[in-house]
Amino acid sequence: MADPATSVLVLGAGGLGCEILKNLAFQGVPTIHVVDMDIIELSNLNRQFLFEEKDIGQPKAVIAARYINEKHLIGLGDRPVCVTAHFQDLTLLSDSFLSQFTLIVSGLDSIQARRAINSRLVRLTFDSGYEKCIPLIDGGSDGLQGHCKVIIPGFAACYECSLATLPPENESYPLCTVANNPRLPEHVIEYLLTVQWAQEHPDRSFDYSVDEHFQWLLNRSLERAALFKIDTSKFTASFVLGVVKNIVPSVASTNAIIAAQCCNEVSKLMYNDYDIETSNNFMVYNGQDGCFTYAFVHERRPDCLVCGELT
Amino acid sequence: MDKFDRQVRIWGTHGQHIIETSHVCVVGSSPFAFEIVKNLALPGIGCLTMIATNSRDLEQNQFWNMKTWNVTQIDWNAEKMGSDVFWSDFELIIITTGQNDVLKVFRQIKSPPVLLCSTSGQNGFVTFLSGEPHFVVESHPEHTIPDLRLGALRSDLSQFYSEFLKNTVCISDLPFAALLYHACENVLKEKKPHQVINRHDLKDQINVLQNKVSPNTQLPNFFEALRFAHLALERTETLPENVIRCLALKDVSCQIPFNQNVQTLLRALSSFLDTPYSEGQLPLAGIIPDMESSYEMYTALRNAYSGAAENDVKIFHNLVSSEVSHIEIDQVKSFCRNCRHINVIEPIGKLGDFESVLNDETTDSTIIKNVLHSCLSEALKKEDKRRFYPCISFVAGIAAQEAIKVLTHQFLPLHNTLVYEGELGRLRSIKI
Repeated sequence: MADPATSVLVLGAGGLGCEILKNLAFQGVPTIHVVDMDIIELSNLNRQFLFEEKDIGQPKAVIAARYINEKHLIGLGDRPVCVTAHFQDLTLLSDSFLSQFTLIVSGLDSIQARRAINSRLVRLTFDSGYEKCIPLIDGGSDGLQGHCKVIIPGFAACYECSLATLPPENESYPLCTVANNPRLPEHVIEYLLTVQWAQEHPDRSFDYSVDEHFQWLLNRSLERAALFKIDTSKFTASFVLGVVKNIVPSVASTNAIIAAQCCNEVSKLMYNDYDIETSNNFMVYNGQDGCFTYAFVHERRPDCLVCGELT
Repeated sequence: MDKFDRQVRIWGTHGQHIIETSHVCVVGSSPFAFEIVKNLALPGIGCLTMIATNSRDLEQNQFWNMKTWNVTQIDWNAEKMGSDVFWSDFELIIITTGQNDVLKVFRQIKSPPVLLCSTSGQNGFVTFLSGEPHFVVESHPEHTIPDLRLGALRSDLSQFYSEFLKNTVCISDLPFAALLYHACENVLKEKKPHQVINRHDLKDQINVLQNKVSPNTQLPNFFEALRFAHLALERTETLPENVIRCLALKDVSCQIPFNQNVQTLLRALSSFLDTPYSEGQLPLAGIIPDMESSYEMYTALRNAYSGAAENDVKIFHNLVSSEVSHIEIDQVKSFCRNCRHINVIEPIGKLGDFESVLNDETTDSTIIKNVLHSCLSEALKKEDKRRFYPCISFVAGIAAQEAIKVLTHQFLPLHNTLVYEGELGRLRSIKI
């Protein structure tokens, strides 16, 4: 029997967050908090099912909490399922706030935010002399791929221990290619953003969300591409924005799969089914060619800067 | 920005168009069925029908926005649904229950492709049933080997390379593909006729060339030539195994328009391979990777490959047009570009075939059988329902993802059964 006093903090109310909140509600977790500082956009609605078009411009956390609360679900120990929203930056949450939770589930798209929360939780375990330990379950998705990690701070591999498994954040191009021998559309955009913008607008930094800036980029892209005989038909607004924003493709089904895996781990922890030593703490998923999962135990790094013995 | 922008980046506007014009039926009314409907409504399936096979789950029914998703909810009607006619409007049917009255119908009728799937406790499965092979043109391999054909250059390309080198004063800026061509030529000069080039000869020759232009510093394009030397030794004349499998199925009977079109294109491919022009090689992809070089040289090389590929498309389109008139040039283009990566899977032909395999005493068939028949035994305890809810959500995510792959014919779908064991967090692929 799971403890009706269980409380879970959900980080992010996006594609994974909506799925995680829904699962936790059906799992009967009575106390759920959600933190997110984003507002709802049209391109969220292909997967973030707690929102509708009329909610565009509203804070994700608030609308997601309202959706679930309006359903009046009954959870563990016949307590009502209640979601509390926090429309704020999660790195500013206080230790005393974090300490009230049994578990934390993250569905974030930022590596830095994950690292921040991970080191806070490891510190919490250490500072309490191993009395307090709040497991962190981390999900991530990208197109038809994703991962799920279970972090038992201070006891097993932390987020920082598996940092080396992440791909490089951005493809980088040598400056001489970008400046003198651009051959790909990406080379053109890179030059405009890193060199030409600063030359033309030394007083302002580039912001793709400002129409004027984005239009400048589109126009200059076409000019520069033509100069170097690169196919200009590639430079559609969608393509250029994809490169500038580093847009990660996202679809409902992958988010459902990864969030479900995370919440399955929540169930294991809630029902004492999880063994810190032997349970797999790292699962990768790929649905591009058939369907594939691989789960394993990621060891702690003795020299980990966050949870290693030297800290 | 478009509502579907994030997923159009996965399957393109043509994939999205297929999704938005598809009719899909979900048979069942459990939380699992609702989860699948949600996962299909969100990406924009045009027309969704949900058939309740027993009393609807009220909690689920009021949790989801069934109205905003425009889902038609009807009740199971054995009489009306017992004939082929009822099902023929759907492109895909997803059966989420092992109820006997439902399975009985599907044992007898001839239906569109079916995904049969279910969950029980922590376990679940998804299986793909269809009376015909499932062809995939856009399999979207994440990383590919550059299609340069350096090991067996077609005459149009070797003509390009020889003129390209004739007009090159200094080789220090050549893209690696041209360097490899040049190195191969030099090696061949020293060989007897019919002797083959080996990797060492080629690499030595690249180093000789590099020393002539830059004896002291390693140039990045020469470094790439060494790294990609194997591409010049690749035997392009043998067809990939996946293409051979597709060709072998080009004349079996198919009903699905996409499959029929691919079969037409495969027959055209056979003729294309027989033309003297193709020299027995697949149409060129026409896309080359980035190569260290001056942009002028790179552009010349890129244009040579894309021009040759355009020519292939023209010839290919003529071959297609001699058989049918309805296949458009864009489809031919896509087929030619993806030709090396086309693929086919053979689903389980009939529900009866699937069920008979379940009688084998293997671990997988035991899991599937228990899951399939679980709806007949008593419902899960309330606690287990909560505890194992994520397993339902997981398998429903897989089922919806595979449904979209089947509908769009992009990405290879399951081949042909997936078994999920939630306790181990493990998903396995088995072929029945």
